[in-house]
Amino acid sequence: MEQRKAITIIFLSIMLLFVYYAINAAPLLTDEEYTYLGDLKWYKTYEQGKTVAEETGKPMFLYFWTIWCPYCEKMQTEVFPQPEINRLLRENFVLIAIDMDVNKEDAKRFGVQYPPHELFLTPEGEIITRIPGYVPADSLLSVLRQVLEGGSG
Amino acid sequence: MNPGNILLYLAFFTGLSSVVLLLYEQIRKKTVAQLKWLIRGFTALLFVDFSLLLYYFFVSDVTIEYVWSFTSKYYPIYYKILGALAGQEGTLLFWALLISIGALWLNEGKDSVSDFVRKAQILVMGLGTYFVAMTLLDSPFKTIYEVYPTIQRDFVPLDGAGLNPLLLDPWMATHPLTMFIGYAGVTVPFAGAMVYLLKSLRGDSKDLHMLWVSKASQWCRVAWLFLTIAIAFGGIWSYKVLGWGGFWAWDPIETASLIPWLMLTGAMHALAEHRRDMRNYGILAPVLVSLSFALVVYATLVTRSGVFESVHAFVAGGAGPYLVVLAFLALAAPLSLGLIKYLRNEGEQTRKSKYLLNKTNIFYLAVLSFIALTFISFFGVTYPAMIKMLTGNKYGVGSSFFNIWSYPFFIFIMLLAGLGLTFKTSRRDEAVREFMVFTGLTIVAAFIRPADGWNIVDYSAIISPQKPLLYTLIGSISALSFLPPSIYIVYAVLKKSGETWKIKEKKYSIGVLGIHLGIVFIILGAVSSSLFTSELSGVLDLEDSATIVPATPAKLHQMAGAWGVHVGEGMSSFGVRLVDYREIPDIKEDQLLGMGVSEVIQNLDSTKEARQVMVYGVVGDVKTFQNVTVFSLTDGDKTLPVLSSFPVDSGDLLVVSGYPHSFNGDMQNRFILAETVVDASDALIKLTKSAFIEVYRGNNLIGRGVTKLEEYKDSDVRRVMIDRGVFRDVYVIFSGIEGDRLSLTIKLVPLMNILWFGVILFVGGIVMIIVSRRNVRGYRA
Repeated sequence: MEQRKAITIIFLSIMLLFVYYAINAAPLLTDEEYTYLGDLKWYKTYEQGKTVAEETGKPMFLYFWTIWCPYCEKMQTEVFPQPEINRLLRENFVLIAIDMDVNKEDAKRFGVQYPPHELFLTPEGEIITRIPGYVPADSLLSVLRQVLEGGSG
Repeated sequence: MNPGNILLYLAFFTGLSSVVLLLYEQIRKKTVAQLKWLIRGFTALLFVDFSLLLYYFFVSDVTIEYVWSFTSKYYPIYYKILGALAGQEGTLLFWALLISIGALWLNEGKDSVSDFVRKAQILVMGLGTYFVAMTLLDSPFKTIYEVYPTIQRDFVPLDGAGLNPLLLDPWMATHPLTMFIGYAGVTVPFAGAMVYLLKSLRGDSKDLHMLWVSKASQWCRVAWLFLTIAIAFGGIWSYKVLGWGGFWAWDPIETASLIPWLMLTGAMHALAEHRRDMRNYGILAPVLVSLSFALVVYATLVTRSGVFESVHAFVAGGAGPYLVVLAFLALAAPLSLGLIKYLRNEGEQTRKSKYLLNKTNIFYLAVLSFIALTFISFFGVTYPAMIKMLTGNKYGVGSSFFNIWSYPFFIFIMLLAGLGLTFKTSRRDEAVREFMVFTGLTIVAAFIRPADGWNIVDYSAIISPQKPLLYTLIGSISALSFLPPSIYIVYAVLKKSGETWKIKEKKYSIGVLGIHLGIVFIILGAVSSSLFTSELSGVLDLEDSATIVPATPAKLHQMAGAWGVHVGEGMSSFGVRLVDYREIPDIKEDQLLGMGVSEVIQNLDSTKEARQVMVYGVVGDVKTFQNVTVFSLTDGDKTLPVLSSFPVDSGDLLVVSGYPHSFNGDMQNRFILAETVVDASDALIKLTKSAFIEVYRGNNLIGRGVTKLEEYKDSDVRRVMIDRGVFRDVYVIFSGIEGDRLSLTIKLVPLMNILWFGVILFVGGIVMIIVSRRNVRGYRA
């Protein structure tokens, strides 16, 4: 009986520590204003992003995601944080991450069926190019460069 | 009112009056004879009611809103029936029916009027009635005219809305069926456990103990069997259909189905010890069995409520508060009863042992580890959903969270399994020594990484601002650490099977050993397929079926060599060949005028007359010259060129009428000069782009098959090619098509079939245990 009590107490303490640790370690993905994915700060709706794009004249990068999609997780942990991609996105684009579970209108507006899905738009809102599905880092990098060169030239 | 609803009301009142009469019996301490027939009536009514729902699906009666939502007239019969379990309303009715079958089982037993069974019956009938009431609140028998009052009474829709095409798969069709049988199977054990807890507060007796154990055991086993099958089918579906190449993604709803399974597994271990000696786990076993039921309700809530975001969101309905109440009650009641019993110190009167490692404690550690696994999954699903509901903010709890926390507990359980199987009180020292050796080996193995990529979760590769130390540490554990516990279990199973068994226990022991051996295969398959999968990509020319095109390795695992895939110098020597490519339209032909392309070509060949033809088909290549459009019309088998002055798009379904012409009178160069072109895309169910692929390593063919992209009106579905093998599966995804170039993703998944074999051992093992009928016979009061 005493042994079992000790085991139980140890077990309960481990579980408590687990809860404490897990709560603190879970990364914040969205708050009221922004979405935080792959080391970047994103607007949550097309409207928000469009206003900023019009002001700054930067092209928009729309990223459609959901929390349950494994390839989105891969994009967010392996592709976006790549230093070069991260820098290009951060400096030259208006970033908009559309959570397809919440923001269904924007998904519909651009005819996006599945996450992940990437879309480049001019500051005026015209589609430059779209990539359905997951893109590996090298491919995304070359697309990013193309879009930027096309814009300046 | 629809007869289905009338039957439902009748079932509700029958159920309610049964409960009232059962309570009356308890108060008056006498038996009401009519109850036997009321309960039979309850089951019969629900049976007829559910059959009626199946019938509506069978005949595709789309004036019933629920049928309309989940069917299409073009489905094969199997998928039509599946529709009945595709939404919340039908599921609840099915669940009510299954509970009523449990009630009937109690009702028809020899001891049906004993006090224990009667009390359990109150709970079972109460739950059955509760589910009928929930079904009534949102009935599957509502007509479209009731749901949409603006619809004209005589309007009948042409067809149902149809299921998400991803669900149209035999594994998925069977998944909800088996899942809900498993869920409902926990109802009777729950009732038994609750009555046992209540009654034992007034003193435990051997009779009472035997009664609840005999009622609970077999139902738990059957429930476990069905839950295992359901989870496995879901895994097979996700591997085969979703095209993620994985059998498990820790999707909230996937995980929700695992939560009760884990708890039930723990409960059954407690129950096994409790059966052996009633003084063991007198509280723990019934509480865990009851909690399994609470978690089953919780899992249903997660699946059907729509609060939890997941792939399953496409079947969400608004079940909500009633399930919350039920889950809460089923959680709170056993916990408080257990606590009361514990405080009165009536339950755990275990024999004292001076050794820490005795059989009871080993089981206790295993059960606690199962509880821990359950809790990790529960937390991972619940916490983000709760925060989202409370604050609207989202926190990420991804698959790495589940993997990192679950892995150590899982390895610990495997070690305990080895110990538990080999443990004998008379040879304690030997067993403990072996346990220490294997535990030591496991710890050593955890530090040995033969190459990169052996970490269970490569946290160093995750570029994230937040890198919790503990996650990085646990994540860096080498996957090699699963080997010593696996060998331990194999050793234990061999040792155990070398012993002579009593004839009576033979089936039971084979079953137990089979299941534990199953774990080894499952973890071997799971670890190797998730860590050592290689990925390649290839781009093919649609016109070229002669060349083997080199495939570019995106991620080649070093271990690939061991799975029969050559690596190293030959890395670039992978190749793919497109043997055949077709676009096959699936057309509702009765809605179209004219003939199909093949038929027209056949007619033209036989008559050779230039009569006007009307032909339907899907547009393939399109070429435009000034005002003239030249395109090919196809039915997937044959193609007919068409010359038209109207612009068309590739992929359209058209009805073309015009005259046949030919260049130079050569029939090989025949074409249709279109006079009218009508877009009939509404009649196109789907367009299947189908590629026959061969995958090579050097000059050796390592896999072949068909990979498809099905284009539906509003979505695309990829049907992956899987060429299975003992050591690896060749898995080809149709990634996309642009112009005349087809791109593919090729995965080489090692040891996937070993995992499925482990599942077969699970299923076979529990079936052996069920047919052994251990602790079922001779326990009748």
